[in-house]
Amino acid sequence: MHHPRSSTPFYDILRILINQWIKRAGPLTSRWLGEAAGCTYPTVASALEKLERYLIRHSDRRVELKVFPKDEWFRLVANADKVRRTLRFADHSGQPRSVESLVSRLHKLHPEGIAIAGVLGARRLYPGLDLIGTPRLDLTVHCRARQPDIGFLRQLDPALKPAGREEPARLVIHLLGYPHCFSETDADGSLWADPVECLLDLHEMRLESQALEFLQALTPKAATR
Amino acid sequence: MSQSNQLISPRAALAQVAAAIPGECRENLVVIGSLAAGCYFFGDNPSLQVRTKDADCLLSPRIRAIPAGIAVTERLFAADWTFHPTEEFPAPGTADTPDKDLPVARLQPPGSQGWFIELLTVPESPEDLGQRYIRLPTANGHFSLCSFGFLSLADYQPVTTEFGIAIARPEMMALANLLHHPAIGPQTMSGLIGGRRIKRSNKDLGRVLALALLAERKNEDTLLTWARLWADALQVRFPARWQELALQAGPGVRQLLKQDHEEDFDEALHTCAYGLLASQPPTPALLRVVGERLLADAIEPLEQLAQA
Repeated sequence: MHHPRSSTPFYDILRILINQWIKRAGPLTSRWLGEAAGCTYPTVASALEKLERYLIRHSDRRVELKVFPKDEWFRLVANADKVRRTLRFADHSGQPRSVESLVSRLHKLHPEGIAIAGVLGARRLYPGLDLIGTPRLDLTVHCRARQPDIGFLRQLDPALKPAGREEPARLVIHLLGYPHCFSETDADGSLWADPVECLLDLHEMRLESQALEFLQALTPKAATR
Repeated sequence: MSQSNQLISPRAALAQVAAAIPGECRENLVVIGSLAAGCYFFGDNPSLQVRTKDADCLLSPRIRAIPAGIAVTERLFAADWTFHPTEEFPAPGTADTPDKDLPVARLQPPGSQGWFIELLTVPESPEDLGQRYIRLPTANGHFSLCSFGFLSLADYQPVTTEFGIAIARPEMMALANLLHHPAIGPQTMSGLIGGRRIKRSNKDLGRVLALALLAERKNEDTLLTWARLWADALQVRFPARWQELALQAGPGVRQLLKQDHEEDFDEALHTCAYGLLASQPPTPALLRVVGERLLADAIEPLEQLAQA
């Protein structure tokens, strides 16, 4: 099923708003949103209109989320495979490298713009995540190009090849196309994907209870205003 | 005469070799080849065996090779080891036998014809890479002590076992084989391996992949340490041309992994499954990936070190 292109900017804006809400970044201008999402003012206005019931509109026209936009979020989760460009890789050796090994290699390689997401990203923000082990490595690549440079994968493990439809993925790359990067660099210089990407990854892995737990941990405990 | 390979316990065979070697010669002897690899990787697991017919023993340094070779040979004969005859060499040579007609020193343990030890030595100098034979005159006959190619790498930082005898590091055996085969040559093994005629390059390059696979099974990131060790060993053993040699380590494996060398790859797979990996044979996909991992983790970093 083909997803209409027009919905992607809406979901980009939704993700940006949620990211800012989690960070308690305060109200945003439409202009900033448009620049962050890489879309025009009318597109921003249309998206905000759809999100009206979750918004606080300030007198200076700035906006922010007042609550987590549950319905729109679950619509995004349901359409995530169409909204997010995803590349899945499976082990083709029968002797797979552990996720820990892949991450340690990634740390050494330091490829530009490649952020760790998924379970590891969620665990970094919420160490209490109720999950033993790490089923796969999720990476978020900030990339506006049609063909991302994924040459670094060979250094992680040449056994990683594009996964078949039913094949369990060992490593998943999600491509983020909007201009503003919400990833964070830690003290060791490692790049970590934003919480919204990590949350989407947990949903994608069908780790629903962990996703809920993670969302609760991220939700600001008191009203921001 | 049959040259078929037997499944042997590397630990038991090494213990038997160590027990028979004179104490004063142990520091001059390094076990190399599949017996050394078997001991290194699964010496502690008696259920895992390797299929081999020979335990290659390297005598080093070269200056000690003759006296140590004589002492080892005579001690083994005294302990009821016997000469391992072949059709070409049915008996040890004598003082009258020309050098070129001397048999290599192959001795089999008492009561076993399944395997034998073969004495070798390191080349005389870094420039001397050809196959050379020197006379080993013992009280039990005259033999030939062979040296060739990159054997000097095999005694770089060997690992001493609990039996007081050293075994070659897998990384070094792999490097020696890589350097020996920068391209797949037409020469075949004299005997059949598992019923098949196999090119020597494919057997030796297959051995490299087997060593890499076993190393990864032991520690999934261990191949990342190989390039540094390889560079150090090359700088020590071949100081004048280590960079040139480092660039010679990769082409053979790259050729073996090419799609248009499927037959060569299959021969390498066959020798792995029939030899060092007999207890846990790899799939073709796994062995191919191991080759690619070896390139990415060890060979390419070595090339970068050489070009730096």
